[in-house]
Amino acid sequence: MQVGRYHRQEIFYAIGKEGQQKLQQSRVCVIGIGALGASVANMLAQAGVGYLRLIDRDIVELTNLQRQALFTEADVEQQLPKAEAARMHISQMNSEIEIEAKIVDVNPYNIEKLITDVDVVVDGLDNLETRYLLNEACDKHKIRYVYGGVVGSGGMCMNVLPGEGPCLECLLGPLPEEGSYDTCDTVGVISPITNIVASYEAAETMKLLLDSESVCRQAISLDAWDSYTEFFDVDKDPECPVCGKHQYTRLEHRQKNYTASLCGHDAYQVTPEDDGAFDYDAVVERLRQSGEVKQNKFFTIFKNEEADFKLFPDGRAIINKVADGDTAREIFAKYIDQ
Amino acid sequence: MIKIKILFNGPVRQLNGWKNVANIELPDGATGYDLCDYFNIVPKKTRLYGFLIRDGKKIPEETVLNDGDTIKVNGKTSGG
Ligand SMILES: [Zn+2]
Repeated sequence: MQVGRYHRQEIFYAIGKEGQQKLQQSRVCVIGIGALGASVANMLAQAGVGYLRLIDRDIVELTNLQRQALFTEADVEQQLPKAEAARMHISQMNSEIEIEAKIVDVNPYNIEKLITDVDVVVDGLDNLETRYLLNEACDKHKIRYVYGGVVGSGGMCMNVLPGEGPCLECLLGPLPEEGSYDTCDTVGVISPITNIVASYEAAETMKLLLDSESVCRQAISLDAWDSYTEFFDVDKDPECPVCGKHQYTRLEHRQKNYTASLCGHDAYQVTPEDDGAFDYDAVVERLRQSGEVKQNKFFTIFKNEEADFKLFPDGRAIINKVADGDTAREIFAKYIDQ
Repeated sequence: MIKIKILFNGPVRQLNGWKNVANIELPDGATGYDLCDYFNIVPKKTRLYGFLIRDGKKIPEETVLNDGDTIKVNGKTSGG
């Protein structure tokens, strides 16, 4: 007799056939499909989680292949969006589950719509600003959120359980407005730590979906190079603006053409206000009169002597080869947001 | 004076010349703030810095440190 795909999970004492069915009825959103997110998404698909929403704004690049196991050189050549490339590769491994790829920038306008119909949100993000935004959205809608982050050889992980325990801001404190912090782009990152943290995130997600008593109530700090792992307690801060006072300043901070730098590029992304007025086809037609336009089904590439950018159907653009956000904003205003 | 051992987790070690261990002495009654000050860390301002851990628990900077403590300095882990 042939045994089923999930046999080894069904005979695992903490899951069983009933748990397996529960996983197959579960819905998870993975935000950020880089090293962490792609790896977590792959493990959750292997485990048979019934619905996965994969969200990422970026294109697969050569420097991703050092640690982002799902992607191939062909994805780089075809300039595939990460969310779509991940959906394609994962569905070849498990065609029985539903996978939705969302090629969008997560911002205050769309985040609530993206996360409110799932059971758990998993963090695969590459920056703290969006994580703090996600933390607010999850607290507001009481959605369980698995935080994971890596940089260099170090990583951290913590379940954020609204109404029960500390949130991301209780763990990391307020995010200073000024200055810069280390990213994978500035101090590097090694593949082993991304896989270790992704594995913790995937295991915690499965436990949360199964309402397991083994859900980790501590935070985890690790370093793959220093051979260091520590589980530690974090108190919920009654003065925390997010989980203590339920003030959602990032979620409510919506401004026109806000600019964000990308991890791993000398490029800036400009995201316009989502007022529903953006007409992608009309803008592309207009661009044809100002320079060279190449299109695929995911985005449009525009180049002339002054500007070089990718325009996405959701209205945002990645402006290449600019030194600062203001220049990116100027190009956006001149060519796209006329 | 009290003797404290500091362990830096991840890239936050650059605040200690990229070494992950430091053994320092602080005056009696010193707090986490004094420890931060020793490494030119300004909590809530220094972006690299996240928080302190002692004996398996995140501690606020106002915590009074004890002779023989091992304190772990964690950064804000930002990448993915
Ligand atoms: Zn909090």
